[in-house]
Amino acid sequence: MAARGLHTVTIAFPDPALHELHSDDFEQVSSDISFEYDKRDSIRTLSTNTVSPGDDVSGLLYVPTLPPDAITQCKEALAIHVPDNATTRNNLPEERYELIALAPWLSPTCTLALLDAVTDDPIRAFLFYIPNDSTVQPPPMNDPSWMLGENGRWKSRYRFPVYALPGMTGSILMDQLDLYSGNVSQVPYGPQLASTFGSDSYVRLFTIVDTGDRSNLPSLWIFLLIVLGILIFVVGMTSLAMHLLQRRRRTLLRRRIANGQVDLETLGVKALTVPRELLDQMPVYTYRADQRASTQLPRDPEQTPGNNLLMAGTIHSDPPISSPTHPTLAPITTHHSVAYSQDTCSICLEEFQPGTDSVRELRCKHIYHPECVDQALLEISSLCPICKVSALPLGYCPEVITNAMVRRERTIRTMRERVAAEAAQDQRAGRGHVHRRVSPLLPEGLRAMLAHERAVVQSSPMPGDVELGAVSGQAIPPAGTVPRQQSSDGCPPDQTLSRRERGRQRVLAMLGIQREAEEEAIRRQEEERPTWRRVAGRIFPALA
Amino acid sequence: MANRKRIVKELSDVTRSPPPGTRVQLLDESDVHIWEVLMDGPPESVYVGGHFKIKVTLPTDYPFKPPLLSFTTKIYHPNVSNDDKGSMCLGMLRSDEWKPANRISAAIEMARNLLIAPNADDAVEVSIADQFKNDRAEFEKIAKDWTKRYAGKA
Repeated sequence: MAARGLHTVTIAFPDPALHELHSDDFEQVSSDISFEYDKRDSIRTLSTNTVSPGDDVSGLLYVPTLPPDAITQCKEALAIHVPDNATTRNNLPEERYELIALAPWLSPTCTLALLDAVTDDPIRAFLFYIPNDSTVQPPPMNDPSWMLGENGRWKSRYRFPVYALPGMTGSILMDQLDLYSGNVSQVPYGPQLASTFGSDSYVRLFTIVDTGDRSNLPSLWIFLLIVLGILIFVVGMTSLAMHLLQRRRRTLLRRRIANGQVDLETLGVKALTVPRELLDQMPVYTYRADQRASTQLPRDPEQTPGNNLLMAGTIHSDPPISSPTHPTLAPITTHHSVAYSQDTCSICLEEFQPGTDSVRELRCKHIYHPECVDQALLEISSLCPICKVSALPLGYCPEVITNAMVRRERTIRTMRERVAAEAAQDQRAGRGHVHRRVSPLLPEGLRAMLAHERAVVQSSPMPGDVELGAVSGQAIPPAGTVPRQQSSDGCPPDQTLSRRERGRQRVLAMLGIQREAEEEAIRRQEEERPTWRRVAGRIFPALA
Repeated sequence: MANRKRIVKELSDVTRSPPPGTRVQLLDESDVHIWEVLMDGPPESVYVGGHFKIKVTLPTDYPFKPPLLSFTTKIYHPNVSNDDKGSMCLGMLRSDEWKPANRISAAIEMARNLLIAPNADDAVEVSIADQFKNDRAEFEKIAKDWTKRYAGKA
């Protein structure tokens, strides 16, 4: 880097040859009784070899000596500008102290000879000056005067930096070198210095080249690092908070599912299937025409002579699995009169053959051939094909509750609350505002669903009576349960549903109209999402 | 293969007693999953005189998933998409409303009823639906024109 200034002081140090002491005994002589010279600016850097800003470039100032075999003209030229007693290598201790060379800029040949002459010295920098009385900055480094006849290639040849001083500065330093070359007693204020530092000490000039401020750039880096650190911290804390929030919501949702307050599949939050072990626990029995005779337990072996399917089911379900997330079905001890009122399997459209056909009964009391319904429950959906009530036990919770499920459930719940509130409002207002505006903030899909739902709510006989999940604070059966009173009469369940229940199911059906398409769209979106968005979603779950 | 058994049963039922004005056959005798329905334009509709071909595709998990109805004959109707698919998807044909207890013949009948009374509130072709609601004469003119042009031949 370019030198910004030059500071030359007088130092005193004991003769290492006499004291076996080392360079850390250097002591600066007070400027009152010695030479001190400071030159800011007007220093020209000719080559910066190996020196970076902030590097310490300093050393004892001296004048190199041309070797004895050097060209006479050069020796003569040098002698013109260098005083006889100027400090040379001979006036310095043998010790290899770091040095800074000072010489006039002579003819190319002589200058190169000077540069060559110092290569063996422990030199830190070479100061040149054009011998004149100029006080202005020497010409720039690519000026022809610095080329030395070989297009400036010399600059890369020497491992030390080379600086050019104004002629006046060079002369001043040269004159001072003349003064500070001999014994302590011979330099200015010699006796005084001798009494302070001892008469056998060296008193010499010491030059420090100011190579610029090292701390400038590093401080910028530190600043950037701090900013980066704060940023990472903030991001980390936000991410942590979001993760904690999402986890809390997942736990809450899991609890509400376990309590039977939420049914993910009926809500259209997530398509569930029935795990094999739960399917095996669902009752299978032989279809009977005689209603009163059918009070057996589903797994009573006597009632299932030679039925392979049932046998298989019995074997699989033994022992019954019970865990918090997989509550076992309550033993079926009720009679199957409701189930037996269905005489056709809605899947294969065949009539049940009394005494021979085995049937699978779902929680909603709908019955099907096991061979018809099992595969569908295992692979397609846990909902009863007829009434769309979940066949899973109440409170069944899938292993994994994802953030997406949480989000969806929340959206649907908020939406229902709003619809219910608006419906109630509309009803109070005498249905005067059927075409209320849907909030423009809602996404398109939700708005459509909302509109559907409202339409259903308003067209049902008693809109206020339609059950809308959490809105009505009364003890209402949670989504997915079937009112119990229907099992006493002889009609299929879907025809005996209370008006309320039917209304609710219509709402659900409407709400789920585009469920599959949406799920597909979400899945596709998920796949097409660029990596950075996926990563962002990982870090900030709320953004996903 | 409860699935195949049921389809064959439904096919035999519907062939024996098809909905009025329709004829049902397999597009390819070896594949029971693709039916071809030939439907005459109902006399009380603007499509009278037309002969429409409807392709009924049964998904592999039929009857748990609804059949897909598509008009292979071009038709000017708010509930039939005006593209090369000619698909019709509303009411019980939506997968959420479809129940396995529904029969294909019911779906065909629904399609026929839609020819008589289009459902403009649940349309796939919004512009046709608008025209149906606001400019019935123009709608009928175009529908008749299309019927003559695309569904003329038996």
